[in-house]
Amino acid sequence: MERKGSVREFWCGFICFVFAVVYLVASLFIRKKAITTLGAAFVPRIYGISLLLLSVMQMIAGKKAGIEEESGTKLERKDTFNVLYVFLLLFGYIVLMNVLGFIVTSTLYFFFQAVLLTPVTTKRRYFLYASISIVLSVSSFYVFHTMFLILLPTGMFF
Amino acid sequence: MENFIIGAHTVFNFYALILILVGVVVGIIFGAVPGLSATMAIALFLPVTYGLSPANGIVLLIALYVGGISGGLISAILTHIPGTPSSVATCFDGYPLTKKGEGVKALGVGITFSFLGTLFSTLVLIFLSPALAKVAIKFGAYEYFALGIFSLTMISGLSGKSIVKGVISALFGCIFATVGMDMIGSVPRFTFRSQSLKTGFNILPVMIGMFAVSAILEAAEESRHPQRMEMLKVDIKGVKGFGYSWKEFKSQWGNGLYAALIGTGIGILPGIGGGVANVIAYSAVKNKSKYPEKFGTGIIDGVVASETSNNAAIGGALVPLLTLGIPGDTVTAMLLGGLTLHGISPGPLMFTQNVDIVYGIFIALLISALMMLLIEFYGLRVFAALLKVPNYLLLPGIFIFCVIGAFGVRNQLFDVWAVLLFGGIGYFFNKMKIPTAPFILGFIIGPIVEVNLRRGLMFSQGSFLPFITSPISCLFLLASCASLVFSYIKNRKYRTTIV
Repeated sequence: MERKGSVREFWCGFICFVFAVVYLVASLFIRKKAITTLGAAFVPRIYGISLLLLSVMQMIAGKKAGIEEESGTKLERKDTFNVLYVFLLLFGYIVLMNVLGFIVTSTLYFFFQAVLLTPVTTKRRYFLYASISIVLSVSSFYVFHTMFLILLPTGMFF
Repeated sequence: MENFIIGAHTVFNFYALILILVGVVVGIIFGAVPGLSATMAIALFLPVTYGLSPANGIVLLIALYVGGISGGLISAILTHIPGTPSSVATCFDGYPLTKKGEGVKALGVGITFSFLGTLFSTLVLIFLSPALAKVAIKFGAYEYFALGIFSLTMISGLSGKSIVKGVISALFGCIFATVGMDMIGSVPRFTFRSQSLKTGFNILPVMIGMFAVSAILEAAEESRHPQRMEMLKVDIKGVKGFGYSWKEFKSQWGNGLYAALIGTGIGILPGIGGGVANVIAYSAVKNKSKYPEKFGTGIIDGVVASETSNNAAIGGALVPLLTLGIPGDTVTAMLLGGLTLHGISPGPLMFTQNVDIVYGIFIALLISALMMLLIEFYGLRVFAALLKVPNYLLLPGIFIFCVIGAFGVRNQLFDVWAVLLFGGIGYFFNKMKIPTAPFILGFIIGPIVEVNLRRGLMFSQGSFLPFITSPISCLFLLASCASLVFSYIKNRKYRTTIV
């Protein structure tokens, strides 16, 4: 079986390297105060430099290793688009929560999330998803907001 | 003996026993649902105790504490999402056991050793608390710094095959913990002029994001492959007792005792708590095991280590609270509030002026632990039935509770955004095969190390010498060196074996 380079290991190191550089640059903007022996920026810089060195090590290890069996068949390819849709759904859920309120957004979120996560070979039961989403959202709002007095975003409707 | 009778008189009445039962059940529910936690349970029920007598109020809070810490194992084992920060390490072997069809065994082992952990630390609390308090009070900045460094060396046990990736993960945890106001000089760090970022990130949204959101994203990835999305099956029909054999139970005595000592010891030290205890105990038990390579694949040793230590931390955390009036963790900080509300001042005088409350707490701990054992034992079938709910319905429901929990931390949407951020980071870690446990350890321990290093240097006026000359600090620093050397040797042996 052909062996391919460990691209993942290299990219892991590279992304960490970029993050470390950004972090170190941001640490330059931390104000200094004369009252402390070690300033507020000292430890973050230690972290940043350590991460920089380790990410370089990781990139080198990724280049050197170069040995990772290509495993699996085409069927094992991940559904990256679905991941993106789910992430956007989570994003939209949080964005709209202050506007529409907890009950409405949770109802919509549960319904669409269940639809997105239902396997392709399973029949989607929209009525069931809608029923559960309404009951769960309303009951959890009632229990936590009304009984336990946890402030949840109410939005424009409730 | 007389004091125990006074304490028993406080607790052994119908009303108090009902309160303990309710407290344990509610605590288990709060602990089991990711996003809610023992801390939230106590915070919500604190006002309820206003109308109760001091003894009954405290007994209810204790029951919530015990139930809440133990309840986290249920979701950790069945869904790979820890219910509380104290059950993070339970996921590592608990969920793989469920995938193997041994979920009931994992639950049974977790429940039993949670009970034993609570029992152990309660006995330590009853008989050794004044002596242990004297030790706890000797821990200053130098000692906490050295302990933090020692805890960070445990990363090697959590890193899997790549120590570099383990350290990268821990560094990420330390880095994200630096966001917010610097604790020594009150200087904003990495806040980008945002008022929300000035408050920093809380451990609950971090944990929820790293585990729950990344679980949802992974489920989304697999949705086209129903073979992988198949519901996990747990066969409860043939199960006897707690789901494991007497031989298996006996084989875990050593691990349980070791983890209980670690949990109690960490619980005694103010400011650390069960969230760290379970991860450190897991790593420590793995390091001393004859088969460390099996950890993470689904063995009961991992569940025993995590669940014994997190419950052992309960009694440990009560030692400084009752003897010195210093809370051991966030939950005992809430308990301190509860005691103060009822006009009780924890401290040395409490043992003479409020004997009924002190011994009532001891007996309430024992009864709560017993009730927790029985409730969770009889609830095994109910918990296992959760697995019959398809993932595509269970995960969105869990996320809604996670949002409630995250929002409830500080009543700001920022914490919900933090859940999404750390969910993305958790997903990235999974794709890059970077372990998540060191991240959690780094996030909690990083600030402890930094603050105590800087405080220590302020006390010593810039000299590093006291970090070495202080006996306890020196001991932990030597232990850290030994731990690193030991891990290096083990790693070399492992690589030699592979080659």
